[in-house]
Amino acid sequence: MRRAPRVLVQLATAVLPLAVLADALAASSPAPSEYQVKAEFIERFTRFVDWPSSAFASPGAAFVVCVRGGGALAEQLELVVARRRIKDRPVRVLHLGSGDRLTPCHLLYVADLDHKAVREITAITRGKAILSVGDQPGFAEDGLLINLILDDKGFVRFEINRDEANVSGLKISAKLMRLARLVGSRR
Amino acid sequence: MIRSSIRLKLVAIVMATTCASLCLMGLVLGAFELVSHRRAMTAELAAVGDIIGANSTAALSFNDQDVAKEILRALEPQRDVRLACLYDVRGRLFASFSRPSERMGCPSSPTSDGAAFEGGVFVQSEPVMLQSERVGTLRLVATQHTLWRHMRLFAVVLALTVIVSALGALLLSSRLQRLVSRPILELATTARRVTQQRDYALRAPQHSTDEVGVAVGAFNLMLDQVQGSDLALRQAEQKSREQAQFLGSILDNMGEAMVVVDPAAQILLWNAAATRILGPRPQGLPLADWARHFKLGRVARPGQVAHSEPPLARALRGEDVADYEITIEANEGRSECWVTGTARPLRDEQGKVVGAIAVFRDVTQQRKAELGLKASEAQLRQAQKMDAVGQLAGGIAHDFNNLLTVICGFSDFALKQIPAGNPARSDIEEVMNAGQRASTLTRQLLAFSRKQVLAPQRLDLNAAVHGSRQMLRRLIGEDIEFVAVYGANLSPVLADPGQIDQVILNLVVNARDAMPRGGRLTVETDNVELDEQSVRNHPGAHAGWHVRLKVSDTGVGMSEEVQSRIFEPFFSTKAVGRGTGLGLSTVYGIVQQTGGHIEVSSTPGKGTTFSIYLPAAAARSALVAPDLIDGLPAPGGTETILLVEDEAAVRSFARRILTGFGYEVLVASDGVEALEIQTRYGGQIHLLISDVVMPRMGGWELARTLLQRLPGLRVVFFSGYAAEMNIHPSFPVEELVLISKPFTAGALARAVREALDRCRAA
Repeated sequence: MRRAPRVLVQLATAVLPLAVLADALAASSPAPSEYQVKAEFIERFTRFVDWPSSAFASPGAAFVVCVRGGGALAEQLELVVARRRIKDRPVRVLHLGSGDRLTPCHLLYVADLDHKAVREITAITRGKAILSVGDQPGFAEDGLLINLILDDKGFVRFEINRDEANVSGLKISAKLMRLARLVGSRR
Repeated sequence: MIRSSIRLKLVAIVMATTCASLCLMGLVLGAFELVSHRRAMTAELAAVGDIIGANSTAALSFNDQDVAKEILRALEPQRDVRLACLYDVRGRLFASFSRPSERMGCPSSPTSDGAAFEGGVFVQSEPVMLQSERVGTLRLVATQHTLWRHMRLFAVVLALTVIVSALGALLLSSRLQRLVSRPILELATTARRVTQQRDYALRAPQHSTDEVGVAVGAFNLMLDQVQGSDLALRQAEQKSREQAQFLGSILDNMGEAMVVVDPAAQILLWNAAATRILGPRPQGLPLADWARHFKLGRVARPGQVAHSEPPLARALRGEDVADYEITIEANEGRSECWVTGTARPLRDEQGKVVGAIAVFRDVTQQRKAELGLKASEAQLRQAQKMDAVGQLAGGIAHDFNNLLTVICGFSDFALKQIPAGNPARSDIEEVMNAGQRASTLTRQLLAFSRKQVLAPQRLDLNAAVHGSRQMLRRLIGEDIEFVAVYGANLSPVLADPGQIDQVILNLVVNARDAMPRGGRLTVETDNVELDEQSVRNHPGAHAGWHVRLKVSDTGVGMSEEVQSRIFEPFFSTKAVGRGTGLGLSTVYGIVQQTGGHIEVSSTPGKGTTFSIYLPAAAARSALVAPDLIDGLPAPGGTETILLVEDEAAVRSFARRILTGFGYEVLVASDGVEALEIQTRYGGQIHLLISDVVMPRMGGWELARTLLQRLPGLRVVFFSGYAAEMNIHPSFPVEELVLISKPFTAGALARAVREALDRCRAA
């Protein structure tokens, strides 16, 4: 509960900058929500990251977006990616449970899990061609490749785990790296 | 200047071509450089824009303005980029970059895509694409400073290249133009020398076989032909000149004069004989003026009509003028000529008159000879008549003088015996007067026949000139200035005043006639001393003091030929009937008779001077004529005188006079008788008085014979006229006294006394 008013405050202060982006995403809704912005960010990360062709079973194989956990952003993400093609491929969204295999995933959104669960997941995804994204503070240090955060002005920013990125099977664009706040894994 | 023109032209052509090419090349290069550089610049800017845009995609995608600005700052080294504006997908200004010096800011919304030069700056607006999705717009504004700097450098390099190339072209062309210009210039030089020097032996050097070489060859070939033609022309000219000279020499050596005129009366031919007759060729004299110019006279052959028109003029009208004879005054009126000849028209093939020729000759000599023959016949007749009259007058005078001596002498005696108051006295005085008038008549008769006895006197020539001055002035007229120059301290001369007057008169008349257009006539006297050298050419003249009488005129003068003949009797340069031809002969005779001589100096056109030299009176003993002392008291004497006279009346008259004066007188009627008387007479005979002309033995022979017998004998001759009185060469003049008849008693007595006293003085 403590968090909710803070998010609201942050949201309120982020209305203006978010609005700019939201206009382009959904002309119908006048004020894009934080989740909309984040969903959009996640979709855009795919544009600055390249997957090796071995990650796909066939040239026409779908781009698999996996969502672990739930929440508003998960729903929003599903909405955003469901109607688009990523890497010129159709998108398939998989909702994963705690025991589900991560292997088919190309993009893995980790929602509201605890740090331990996240570290378990990152231990699996490390060195694989899976772009792991979270939106909880400290998730990057837990081994996720990208973690969405809000800066002190309420703008949506993101962190990239440099260590994980270096060993990842993905090729992350320097442009993306430049925008990110780079962090290391927590030991 | 002319020499180098073709060189200059060649160099100029090369230079003009080169410069034009270089300039065109420079322009094209410049334009190409500009265009390509602009293209490169736009490409570069596009690339820069692409990079910046690509770099900005993430910032735009994730809405990171700080990073966007940072990215735009990467444009800093791109010095041409002044302004960079990054807009988001909604057209809002997202980030910008501008130079501190740039005043222009970013527009609030992006302009349409594209690149263009706007007002000197390059504006590029391009979309920022993230994969196929547009995420924003990048607007770049760039100046062209680098472009212009480059273009300036390029221009400088290009200009330097052009200048160096042009200089190189100049150097090359000024060297290489000789290939073309040298043969042309040599050809031109040769052509000029050929035309200037007319030396057709010159040839232009042939260096090549190109077109110029062909032209040089053709020129030389042409010169060959010209040289040949020129040689032939010169030979023909030489030949025709020789022919012309030959013909001219024939024409000039023809005795006949030849004049040819064209229809306009321009003289085409005027040979030497024509110049001799008519004078120098008149220049541009219209034919109409010929008659006046040559003072054409009208003389016609018998049976022909006299024309006043020149024969050439008639011939030009188509008339054949055969055998004309005219008189003209040729040589500018100096001499009158008789000319005879023919004049014919010259016709061409159609018969049209194309000129006229006159062939004529000077027949003046013949005509003058014919006229002169007539004149000299008349003069001969006149001379013979004069001589006859002279002979007659002389004869009559001889007898008359004897008679008059007796008449006058005895009348004188009679008068002395008749006392005054006797009526017979006046009768005898009448007789005596008549006798004296008869004596005067006799003298005049003798003067007319030039047989008068000279009566020399001591004479002052200044007085003679002065005395005749008025008469001379009237004689010479007003056109001529008369100047008399009287010599100072002029010596007297022994001369007959009447004769001297005649000498002066004749010379003055002569001088007047030499000055038909007026002038100055000078009569001058002075004393001159002649040395042996100056009298050598004058026989009979002696060195010593002379009185000179000079008569000078400023008239036409005389040629040498005329000067040598002027003293010949009947020689005259004056028109027929205007002179006797005796004037200067008379002067000559008188001067010779007076013991002097004449010198003539004359220059044709300048004048003539006659100088008469008469011996000064002191230089020679004078004959003392009885007349000179007429009227003086008559002295008598007691000497013995032999009187010889064939005329009894004169003899008795003289005997009576001489006995009357106290002399012892022996008489004889002729020389033979006189010698007999001298032989018989034992006493001394002091004086012989004798007539000159006597029967049996004349006076001269008698005197010579007696002088041999009686040295120291004095002689007195009396005679009636001059021919008898010519002094015999064998007689020294000092021995003689002459007395002319009729004489008076006193004159005889004084002559006798004079002769005797001179003897005594000697």
